[in-house]
Amino acid sequence: MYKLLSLLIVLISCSPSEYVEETSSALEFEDNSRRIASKEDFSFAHRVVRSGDRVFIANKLLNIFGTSQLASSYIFDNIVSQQGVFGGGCDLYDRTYQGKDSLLNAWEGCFSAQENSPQIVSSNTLKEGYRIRACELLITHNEVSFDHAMTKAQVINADHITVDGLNRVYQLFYPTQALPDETAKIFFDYQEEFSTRELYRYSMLSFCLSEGWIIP
Amino acid sequence: MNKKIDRRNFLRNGLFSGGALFALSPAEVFFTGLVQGLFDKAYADETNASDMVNYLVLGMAGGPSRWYFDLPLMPNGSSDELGENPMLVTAYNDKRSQLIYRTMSYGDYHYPHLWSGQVSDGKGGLRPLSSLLNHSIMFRGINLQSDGHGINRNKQVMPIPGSSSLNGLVADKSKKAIPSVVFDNGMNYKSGKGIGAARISYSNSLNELLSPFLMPTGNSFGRRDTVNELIEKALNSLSSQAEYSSTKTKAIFNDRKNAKRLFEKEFGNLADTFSGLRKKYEEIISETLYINELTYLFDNSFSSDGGDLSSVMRSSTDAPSPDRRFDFRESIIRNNKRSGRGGPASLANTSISNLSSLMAVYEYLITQELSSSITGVIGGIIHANIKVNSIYRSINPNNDAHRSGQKAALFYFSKYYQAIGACILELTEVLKSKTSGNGSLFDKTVIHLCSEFNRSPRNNGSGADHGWRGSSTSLFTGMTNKGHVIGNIQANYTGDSNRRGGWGVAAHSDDLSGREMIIGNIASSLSAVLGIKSPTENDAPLIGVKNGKIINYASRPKNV
Repeated sequence: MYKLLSLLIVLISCSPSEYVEETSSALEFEDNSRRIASKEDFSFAHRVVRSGDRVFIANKLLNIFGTSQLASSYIFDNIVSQQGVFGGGCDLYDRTYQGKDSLLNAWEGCFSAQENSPQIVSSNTLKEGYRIRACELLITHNEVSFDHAMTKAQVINADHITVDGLNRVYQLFYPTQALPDETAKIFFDYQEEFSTRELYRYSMLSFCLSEGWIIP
Repeated sequence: MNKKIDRRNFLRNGLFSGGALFALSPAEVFFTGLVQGLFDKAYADETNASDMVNYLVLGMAGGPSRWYFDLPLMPNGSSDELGENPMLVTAYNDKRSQLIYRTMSYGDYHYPHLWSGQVSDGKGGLRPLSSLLNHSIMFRGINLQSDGHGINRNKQVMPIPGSSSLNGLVADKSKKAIPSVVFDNGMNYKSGKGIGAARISYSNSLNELLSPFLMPTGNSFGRRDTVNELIEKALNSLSSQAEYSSTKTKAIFNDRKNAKRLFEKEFGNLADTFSGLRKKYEEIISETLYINELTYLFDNSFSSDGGDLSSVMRSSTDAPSPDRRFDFRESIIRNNKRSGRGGPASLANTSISNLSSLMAVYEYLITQELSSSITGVIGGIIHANIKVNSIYRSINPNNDAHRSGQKAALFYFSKYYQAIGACILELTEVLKSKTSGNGSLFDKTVIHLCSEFNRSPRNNGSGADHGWRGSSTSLFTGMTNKGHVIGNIQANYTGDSNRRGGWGVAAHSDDLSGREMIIGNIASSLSAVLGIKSPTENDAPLIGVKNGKIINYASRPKNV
């Protein structure tokens, strides 16, 4: 009797919730509202996706791509100045630090214009748009910033791609992780199609566009 | 994928593994089943996007008087008592010699006379403004409980300072590419889940907003398909294999895919699109402002005769006063129609600050399904031109009309609201023409016309001050096909001996257990319509939604 009662209660309480079909969107966007907290995960905490704010992302990109005039402006225009989209407040420490990678100059006006912007902003399409744009501009539109990253990964003069080389490019973004073998293999499959430099370029772009590194 | 073993998952896993199920006692099974049922419900409530409603906030800076437009002071007609005040006028009397409070009957209520007029359709024709009443919900008699421009402006969307705002809660629920857009001078914004708002200005707004999805070399990154194929393969591989793969990164992964689609979308020339839409609304505004034909209102001279009763809308004492016998109608300039009247060709068209930009952004982002929550604030009339010492002088009549006399306030606010109404009407027509699900986009959109407060008129007709004790706010939505007027006001407010009369001060209501309506009731009402959790749960909503249609819980409005 108890077992039957238990089963009945469970079946009732676990019945699928009612969903009404959504209307089609002009662009057919992926439905993150469901993906973020899928029934399988069953954890509401996962709904708020906290990713790096503008300070984190900008400093990471400056570190990888250098502080040349164009690189700085790409990073400023697409990341630093988009406080409402990326979050991150006005950092008093950053304003007082004058090291070569400091965003000191870029932050002028921070207090007057954007003091009401949120500190923490979860993932959204606009944020990803800016990030894609920054990665694309730094890697495919500016050889100086690309070369800076290639040098940093010690593949600037490479004759051909290697697992080690790809790994070092990967570790620009994921310093503590190794590039999965399956992913590395994909780039080797395209050796006939692209030059070594271009293969490193596209690997760097893939890693820059990937989502893992922006979660601090 | 690493799964956290927390109590909820443990219980859930236990429930779904048959053996464990029967190992639990009935009480545990009942409890866990109940918990899961609640979570399921919460999940469904929060993620079911089919009832997603677009929320467009149109704020009016300065706090213009509302009784000319969307604050019916006598909704029941002559049966309503209305305490007199010389500022409470909407038209001339039959003999056109005296200003009076005149209403027009439409549907179930009596509305301010302005609604009986026509407005521009932007194509050289006119259409009745009253058709907008079919989709209106007007709340009157809201006690904002404190004075102040900034705080009361922000209260309209953020009833509790620091809490989640209505525009933020809508963004939380949105799955659109840009969940929320807030114009630079817009109101407060705070998401409950950390969804950021895109901040834009009123000039070239679309380009500014969508620029992250445009590359200097054009869209789609201008490269070979093979390259895109390689990058996609690598990204999919990384996403599926890496240690960090989790629900967190899945969300970012999807956002990136959405963003990429926007990069590939042909936006065309956004500057041209924005400019075209803005031009359409600018045409509607200037054409509507220029219309002077509305029996008992504009077809009589608004002649200045000097003195406080006619002083032009201004908040400071050094603003100019017009020459005696200057007709205010002449101050509205429309250069290509200047043959009949008007000033020199050098004068700019009279318009309303920021209105055309805001309407253009509303129309584009909502019809393109790019955003769910857009918040902006417009200013007052700009480029009105009055004659001072026989010379035209451009002025911007101030919505914060402390020193706008009876005639000037009636004229300029009537013009102001006529133009705003014309723009909202145009937007509703556009949204009605777009299908969304079983209905139109307008059925899933709420336009919230709000301001900092109503105004408290002075007994001597010399102007009106901050009427925060009797504010009002309006919604326009396809979720209703008839007008609603909600809220009681004091028939003759006597709490301030210098600002008496039935101007809209909040009165006690049986619908609210004998209390006055406050901003929390508006927030709860809006939340019910928008399908979000109210940030002011303790304050009862006065409207709800059933089967996509507005239900009015309130009794008929009264002047008490």
